[in-house]
Amino acid sequence: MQKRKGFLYYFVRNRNGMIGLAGVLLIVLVGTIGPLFIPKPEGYTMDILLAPSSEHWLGTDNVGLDIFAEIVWGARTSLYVSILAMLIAGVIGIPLGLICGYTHGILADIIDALIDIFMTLPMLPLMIIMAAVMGTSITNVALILGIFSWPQLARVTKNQTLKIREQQYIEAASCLGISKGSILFKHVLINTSGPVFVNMTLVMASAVLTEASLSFLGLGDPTTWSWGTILKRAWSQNAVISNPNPWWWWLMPSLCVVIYVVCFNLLGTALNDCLNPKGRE
Amino acid sequence: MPDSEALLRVEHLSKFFPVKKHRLFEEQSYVHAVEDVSFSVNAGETLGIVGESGSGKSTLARTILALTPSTSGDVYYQGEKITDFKVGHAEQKRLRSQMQMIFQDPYASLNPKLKIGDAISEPMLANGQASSRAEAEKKTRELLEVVGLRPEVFDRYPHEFSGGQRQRIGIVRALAVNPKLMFCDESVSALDVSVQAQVLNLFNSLKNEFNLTYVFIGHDLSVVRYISDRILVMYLGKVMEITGYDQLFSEKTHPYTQALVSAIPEPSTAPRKNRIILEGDIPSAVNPPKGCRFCQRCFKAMPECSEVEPEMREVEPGHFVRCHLYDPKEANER
Repeated sequence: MQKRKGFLYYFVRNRNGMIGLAGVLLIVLVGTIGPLFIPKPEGYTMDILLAPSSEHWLGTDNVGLDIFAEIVWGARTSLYVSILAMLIAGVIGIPLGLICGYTHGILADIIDALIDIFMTLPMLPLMIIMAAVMGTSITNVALILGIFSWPQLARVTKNQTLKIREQQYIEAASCLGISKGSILFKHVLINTSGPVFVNMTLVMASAVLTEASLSFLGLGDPTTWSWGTILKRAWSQNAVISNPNPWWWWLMPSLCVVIYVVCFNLLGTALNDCLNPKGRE
Repeated sequence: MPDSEALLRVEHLSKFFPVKKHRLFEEQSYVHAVEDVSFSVNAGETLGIVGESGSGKSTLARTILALTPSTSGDVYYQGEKITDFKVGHAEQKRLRSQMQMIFQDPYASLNPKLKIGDAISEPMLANGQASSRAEAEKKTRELLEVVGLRPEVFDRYPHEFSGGQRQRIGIVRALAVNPKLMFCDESVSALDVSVQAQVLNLFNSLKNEFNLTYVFIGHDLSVVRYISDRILVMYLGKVMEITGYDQLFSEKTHPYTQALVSAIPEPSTAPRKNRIILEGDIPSAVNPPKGCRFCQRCFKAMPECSEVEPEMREVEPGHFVRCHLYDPKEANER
């Protein structure tokens, strides 16, 4: 019996993947544990627009709130939104993709058409309208992101399913009297997991980006901190163009968004390379 | 050939695949994968099915097992009509466990992400051969030992095994649901010759131990005749000959069978004089030749052969041939 080098062997040797994983773990740590130690920034103080110092690591904003605290609380929002959006997209997209790829007939055609329609829709304007109608809460934002992200997962799942459906072990399973449901949600699903998993991390990355856009446009939750909310406040006070410029106020949250997206993308790409034997170089 | 004793009886079974149309008003054409095939398998025997690639052997097995719907014809199992498994749910379950298939490619027929033990236990639980996980595991470990694998195999993944070992795992998976009739679809052709012999011997010993009936499909007559009691020769979707093992070398066989027999390698240094080498390839099954399917490549072809399709005729007891050479009137003239 030969023992082949597994996924982990390649993954721990993938530099980009390790950087991505470290970044993601840091964000998760900050987002979950940070708010326990740092009180929620509320109200106002006299320390307005202070540059980064040992007391205020990332400076303060125009009402004297600590930017570092805002970013830590914003990380929690970002995590919450992206995980919820990913779960919603997964719960809708994966089963639809499986059914669309495995069955022939009218149902598969309808799902296929739905995926195409959703993928061609102009996302941002529709999200703005939905957010305006549904009201601004962080859960609503996650819900909207999930509703608009599922076609991506459905398409990946469908393409994988189309490939796996023709494999002999699927025919063997039906010959052995295993039910259609079990074939689809066990035998097919476990073989689609790699690419689908990768795309779920990418959904998480784009969810944060879109959440920041919506918050920046004033469609986020005004009662919670998010990186987009910080940016919006900075923008509305002309922080980006004023002189002298409180650069820490707008630069820090922007950097956070960039780091978050880059880390998740690095992780996703590395997972893709390591799960796919051809990408293991 | 109605036979009340038969375990499996196939009557005029056909399977056509539609060809994709390129123009809107083009007439729909079909691949005649299996056409008007009739035969029966008696309990306890091994029926070999031979033919070149593309002669419809695998499609025949898949159609009988309802893995692909039939176009016309009927299949009877223990006297009951089971065409396309259009029977009640409980009956379907029984059929699924009683008729099993060993697949050609041992690398493709095992799910790479499922542990061996799970792959074998799941069908047992689904079909009621085991009522609990523990029972299924116990049975699986026993069966693994029967085919010569260590029971520790249970917790391993398919990629850790060689082709021969995987084929044994496939055999255990099929055996686990207590089958009576086993279809072996080119089950050894993907294996090394030395491993082929091991697996063939395993098939033979399992036959006695589990009272199995085999339908053994292959393109290699030397392998198929080793294990078969009777042999069915297919060419381009049609049965050309059904013969007992002994009659395979008789004078009255189909020219195609003669060519297949002459191609069997012999462990001898003497030069062979009478090896028949067929010209060309198997024709397209979309527009099969008029008359005899084999007429274009037959070395004994007569003018009549490309005009009229020959009927199946019993030339000796239990020996059926589809060839004009053995037409009664021809025989009288000769």
